[in-house]
Amino acid sequence: MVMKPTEISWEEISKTNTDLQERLSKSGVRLDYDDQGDTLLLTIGEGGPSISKQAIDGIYIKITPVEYKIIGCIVIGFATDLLANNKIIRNMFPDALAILKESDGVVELEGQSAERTKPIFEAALIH
Amino acid sequence: MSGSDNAFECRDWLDRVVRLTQKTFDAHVPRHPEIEEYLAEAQQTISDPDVVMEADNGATLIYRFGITQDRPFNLLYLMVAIYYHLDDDESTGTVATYFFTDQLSNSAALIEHRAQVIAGTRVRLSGGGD
Repeated sequence: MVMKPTEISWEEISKTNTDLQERLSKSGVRLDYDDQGDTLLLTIGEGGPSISKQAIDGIYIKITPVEYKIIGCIVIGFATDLLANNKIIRNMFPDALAILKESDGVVELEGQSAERTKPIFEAALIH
Repeated sequence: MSGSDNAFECRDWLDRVVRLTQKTFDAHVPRHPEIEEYLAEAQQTISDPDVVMEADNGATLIYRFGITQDRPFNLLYLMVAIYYHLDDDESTGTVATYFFTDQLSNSAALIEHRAQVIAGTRVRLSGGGD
């Protein structure tokens, strides 16, 4: 018998995250851009220990290990790949990189601004 | 880059230098504390991976299964994303991030598959033993 790693289903993640919009608005979203690694980390609230699940190439959703609550996501190759090659994301967040660089790589979003990041998480849940 | 600018510096499975900068480490740790707890395991994965893949965005993704006994991470892969670049004619890697994930990338190209997991035991397909 070949033993495989524990695979977490998107169906299960969807079921436990019906409150995503409410949590985005209530807890806010923090964006951390690391230019040396070219990674963008989106964190809902305080973050915490997580398991990462690939949504699409370069984008991983971070979920809590037991309840599978979405607590963030990480984009690998944010400037060199995602913004450079994805028109939808570029249009959605036209000044994202400039704003992040001006603010030393850290941006905190609250309320409706935080809710604007919902499509990123939703795109991951459509599987 | 001086040693103090790095959270670690180690050699990968092909004896190339790979660094995790302190800046990258500090950017991730406060939000995802498992990054700090599994620093040694990340270096172990870099030097002795199970699977190596190449993503479209240019990152090399290296995986090691069951590197810790701690639940729930014991049944997951530790994945390290590395960008390689030429540094004085020598290929050098910079760690972009690392984390535990439930499956291998479904879009990256397989470069090397050095081990598989049978009944919870890593079995070497090539290279050194455990």
